Amino acid sequence: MTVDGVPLDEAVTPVEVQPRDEVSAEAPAGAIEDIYLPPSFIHSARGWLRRFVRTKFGLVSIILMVLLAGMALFAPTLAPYNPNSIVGPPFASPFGHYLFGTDEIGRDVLSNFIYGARVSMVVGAASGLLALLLGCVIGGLAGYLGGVVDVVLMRFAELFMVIPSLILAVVVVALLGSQLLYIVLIIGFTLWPQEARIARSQFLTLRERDFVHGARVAGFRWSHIVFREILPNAIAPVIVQVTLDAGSAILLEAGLSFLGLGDPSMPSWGKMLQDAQSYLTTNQWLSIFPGIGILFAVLAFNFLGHALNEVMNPRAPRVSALSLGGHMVLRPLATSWRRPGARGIPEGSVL
Amino acid sequence: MITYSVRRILHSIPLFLSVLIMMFILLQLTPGDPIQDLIGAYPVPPAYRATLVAEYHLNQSLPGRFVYYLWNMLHGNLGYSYAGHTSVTSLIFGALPNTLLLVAAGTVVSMVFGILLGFLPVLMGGRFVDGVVNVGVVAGFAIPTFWFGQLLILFFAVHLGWFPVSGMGPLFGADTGIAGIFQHIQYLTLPVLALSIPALANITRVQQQSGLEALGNDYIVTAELKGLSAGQIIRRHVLRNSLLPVVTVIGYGFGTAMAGTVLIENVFGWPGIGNLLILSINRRDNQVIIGIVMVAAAIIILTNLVTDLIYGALDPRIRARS
Repeated sequence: MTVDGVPLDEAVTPVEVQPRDEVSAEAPAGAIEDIYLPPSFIHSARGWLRRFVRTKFGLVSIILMVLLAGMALFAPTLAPYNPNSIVGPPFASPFGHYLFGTDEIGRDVLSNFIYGARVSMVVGAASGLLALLLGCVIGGLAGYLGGVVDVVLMRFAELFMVIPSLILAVVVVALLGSQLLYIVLIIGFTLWPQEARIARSQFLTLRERDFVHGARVAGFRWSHIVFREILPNAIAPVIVQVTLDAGSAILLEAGLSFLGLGDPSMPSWGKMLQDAQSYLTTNQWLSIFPGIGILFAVLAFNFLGHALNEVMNPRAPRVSALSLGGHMVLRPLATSWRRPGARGIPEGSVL
Repeated sequence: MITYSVRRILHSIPLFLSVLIMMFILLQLTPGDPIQDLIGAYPVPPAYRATLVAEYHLNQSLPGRFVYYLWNMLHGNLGYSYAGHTSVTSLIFGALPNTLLLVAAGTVVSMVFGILLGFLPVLMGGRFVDGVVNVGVVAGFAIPTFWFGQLLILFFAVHLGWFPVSGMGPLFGADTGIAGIFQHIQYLTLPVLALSIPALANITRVQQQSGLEALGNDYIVTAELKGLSAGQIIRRHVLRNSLLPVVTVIGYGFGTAMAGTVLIENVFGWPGIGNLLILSINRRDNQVIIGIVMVAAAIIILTNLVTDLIYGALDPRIRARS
């Protein structure tokens, strides 16, 4: 029996670590740093930021993020009215006195739109963090320990992947309640298997790398090996996945609110779309703005993920690098054998 | 192939049982008293309550109740809908065909257009086509399907009047024969379009990646040096090899569509299990909710199984690896 091509028989037997004082601790520790330094950690923060901004989506994602986060943080200052109070006639058309118009009972759509950013951004960030935490712990355990633990944990992850996130979220929120906290928790719980799979495969490869063996031989405790040696090297693709999944989290929350299962005490874009559904044939404007809000919030996180991927995993080739340069298809092919390293896209690389 | 198939089939049984256990536990955690739900808002004599508790095995231990639930389910009994005054099975299986029609049509649409769109950059090369397809994929991943559905209604149904706004067919005077089929397709078009977007984006992306990847292989150079024409290379070597990973994505896209249908059916008033789910949630009809999740999970496990079997049949490497 195998898990992802790795025979289970090769389950790792815990390495007998020698006590530290039997080996000279200083020399190998220094040697380890010489062997491997993750590229994303040796550069200064400024250099990192510069490379980030230079990526295809870097600048766009930062601008979108700042706009949305600013909208969420400063909603009370920015919003012209209280989102819940009736401020004018119902169905006032947009671009007049009310920039986005008013809804069916005369609330200001713009104010609701601005406040709506709060739920989406909170859900995206908090559920993403939860998925990151769960994914790293469960995937890391599975990959590092291997054997029975690996099989059990990954079967558990598979269980969450079989039930579609939306259906699971709908059912749990419907049965247990729809406070924002529950929504964040349940969305985080439906997203973690992706992160766990990536973390697992990272831990699985990294634990056999020379610098990890080196650390074991040097007598470092498991906590040092896991948190100081493996985790910093394993985390980059997981963070990229979490950023992309934060977009899914926003979509999930919007879907829940659209079905009437969002937190009733807060304005949200999904809820606005639910309200707009009844007036589709008569007042089209109501459904335009909240949808744009969701679209851009998801795009912000997705762009951030793509940009992070470019900066943190510089070795992963991207499709855009493979663009065939406007020629007929076979023209560049004839020369492709000269650069064997320049082709092939690893599975799971984004764009 | 047989060992692989048997192993794969055996693998999905514990998976389904785990879903069942999870849902059962979730149901136990739900606040509320099933007996009171059954009777309604009336006071009950304790003796009558005791007979009901015994009848529905509620006095047994948790594992005992689970076995009872499992036993009933194996006999096609998913429980009783207190709000619908009918069995859960009949409610679900009344709505399921409509959903499956929508999901199957959506899967076909996303498959056909996904492969076509994803293959476009391979056929045409060039930064421009690549860029356009990439933008489309990014937008497809980010757009909320239910909002896209609303936009489709606004433009094609309300503004242009080409398609009906909602429902599965006219309430009165439905056409018959060929005209009836066309009418059906007219009602189906917009929901299917909206539903197919996420899977379409995913299939396009994978087809694009695997197509370009296949293009970079050494056997393409060999074929070219052998003197095959561009068309022959594309058909025999690039397309066939690049379709393999797409098969998996299509299969999993079915699962995405099963979930997306909950939203889409609500936008378009489509009488499927997604609408039933929301109706049951509003009525607090827990048995139906759990039943729907079970049926959806069973369908998804089944399609994943079929996908893996097809994949194994197409690619001998997969069989050898497990």
